[in-house]
Amino acid sequence: MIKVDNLSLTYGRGDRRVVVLRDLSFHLNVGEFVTIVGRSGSGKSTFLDLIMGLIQPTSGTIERRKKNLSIGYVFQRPALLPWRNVLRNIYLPLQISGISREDRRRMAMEALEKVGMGYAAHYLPFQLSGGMAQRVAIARALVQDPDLLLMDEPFSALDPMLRENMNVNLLRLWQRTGKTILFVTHSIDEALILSDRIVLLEEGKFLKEFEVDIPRPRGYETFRTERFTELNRIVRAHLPIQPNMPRIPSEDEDGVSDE
Amino acid sequence: MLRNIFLKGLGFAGFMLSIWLAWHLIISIFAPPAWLFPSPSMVYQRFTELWEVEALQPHLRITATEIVIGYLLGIAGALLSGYPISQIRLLEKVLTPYLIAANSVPLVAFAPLLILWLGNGIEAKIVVAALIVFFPATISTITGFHAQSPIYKRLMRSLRASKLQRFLYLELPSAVPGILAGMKIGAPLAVVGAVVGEFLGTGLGLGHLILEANGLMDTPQLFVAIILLGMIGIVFYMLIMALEQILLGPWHNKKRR
Ligand SMILES: Nc1ncnc2c1ncn2[C@@H]1O[C@H](COP(=O)(O)OP(=O)(O)O)[C@@H](O)[C@H]1O
Ligand SMILES: [Mg+2]
Repeated sequence: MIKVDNLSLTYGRGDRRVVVLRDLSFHLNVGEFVTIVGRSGSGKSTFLDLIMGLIQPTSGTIERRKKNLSIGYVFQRPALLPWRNVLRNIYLPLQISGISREDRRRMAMEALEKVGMGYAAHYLPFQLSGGMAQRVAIARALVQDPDLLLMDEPFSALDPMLRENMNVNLLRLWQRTGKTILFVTHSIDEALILSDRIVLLEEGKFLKEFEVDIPRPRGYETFRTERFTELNRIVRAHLPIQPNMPRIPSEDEDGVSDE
Repeated sequence: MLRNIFLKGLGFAGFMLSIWLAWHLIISIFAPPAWLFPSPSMVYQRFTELWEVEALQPHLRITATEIVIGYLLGIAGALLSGYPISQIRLLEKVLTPYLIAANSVPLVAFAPLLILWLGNGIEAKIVVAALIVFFPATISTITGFHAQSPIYKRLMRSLRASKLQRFLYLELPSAVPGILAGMKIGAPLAVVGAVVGEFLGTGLGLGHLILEANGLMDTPQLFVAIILLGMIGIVFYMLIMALEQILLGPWHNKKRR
């Protein structure tokens, strides 16, 4: 669906030059769920913005294997316009692309049903909890029935219990709709439960890629399986140690890093 | 909602009642002569006398016209100049100091000049009112158009909204609280502007009625004019509050996501 070759992005010039992404190559297949994991500041959002076409790369190419590939984008915060009710927030993308009033109402309602919030069509954003608001944001990204869904840490502001719940619901949604999803998180648990493939991004470079061979369908119980725990350890072992965090050796190791 | 309006109405009635009581109290304790401090009943009597011979209505009409037109012109000017200023950084940098300076100059001091230039008709008074509404309302409008948070800009960009769509769906609605704040500040200023204009010129208007009453030592008439002005101010303010309620509705003052 998408093929990225030797993508680099640099801000500024001369002394102020900041290399945000360097020489990334990447591909995304139709129907795949791929997650990019990286620390804050590693360039994850910038990468999604490039895929979305919001910014242009300094060098390299992004090839879209379909004409007029449509993309939905979910941000870390729901970004619902506070003066519009839920339904009108969801049909904003349709309104912008000039769809008639009747059609956009119907399509928005369908999208809202997909995230299980049909009852909340006429709520105003301030009446929604964090999880509900983010589900509305997902419905807004789905309303144009995009080929690809970009999700930038959509659940990181939610508490852990709710987050698991949102993960499982997103899995169901993905299975039902067959969307291609490129997801960004800094939670390895979240990446493992959701994706087919995990890509580690560190300081603008792809460090490593993992296939997640945990069988589907996955659910709450998957968090407790052996394979999940094992993969979790393997992925963590490839994460660089935080440079500014002193590491305290545990009792069963003598300072040699094997984390 | 209804309960809220009811409570506000009750509070307002209580406020008026206590003024009325205090007024009576002053009269009964100090027993001042009528030319110094007339009693409520004397003022009311003077009001009905003047009203019956149609001595108030033309003044009321003129002053209300000056206030409303001056106000609308001032606000329209603020909207038309506030938006471009907020969008063009250079313009804003250059103009903001002057806007703030103009706002701290007592603009009513220009009223004699305006009367000199525009004559003693209704026009000069409208311009005085418009002018003192204009500056604070412009500053408020500019602030309003800066109020949108970056996350919404990012949303609009990702949805490929055109410039016009961005204005209609994001910039204008986000600016509404700022614009309304300017409108609220402007309402009493328009009243001040119109009355000061009338003080300077001869002719019609409640301001003129005040001067005339003062000259004739007709203190009850003075009170009538002052109370009418106060009532114009209150009605005006309530209209703007109603507009605010309609435009901002329930999301007003609520946390945003
Ligand atoms: N417009 C910009 N100008 C300069 N540097 C930027 C700009 N946008 C992002 N960056 C830098 O790019 C890096 C990656 O940012 P980002 O993609 O937001 O990271 P992440 O989403 O992984 O937290 C950060 O170090 C950030 O400071
Ligand atoms: Mg980010």
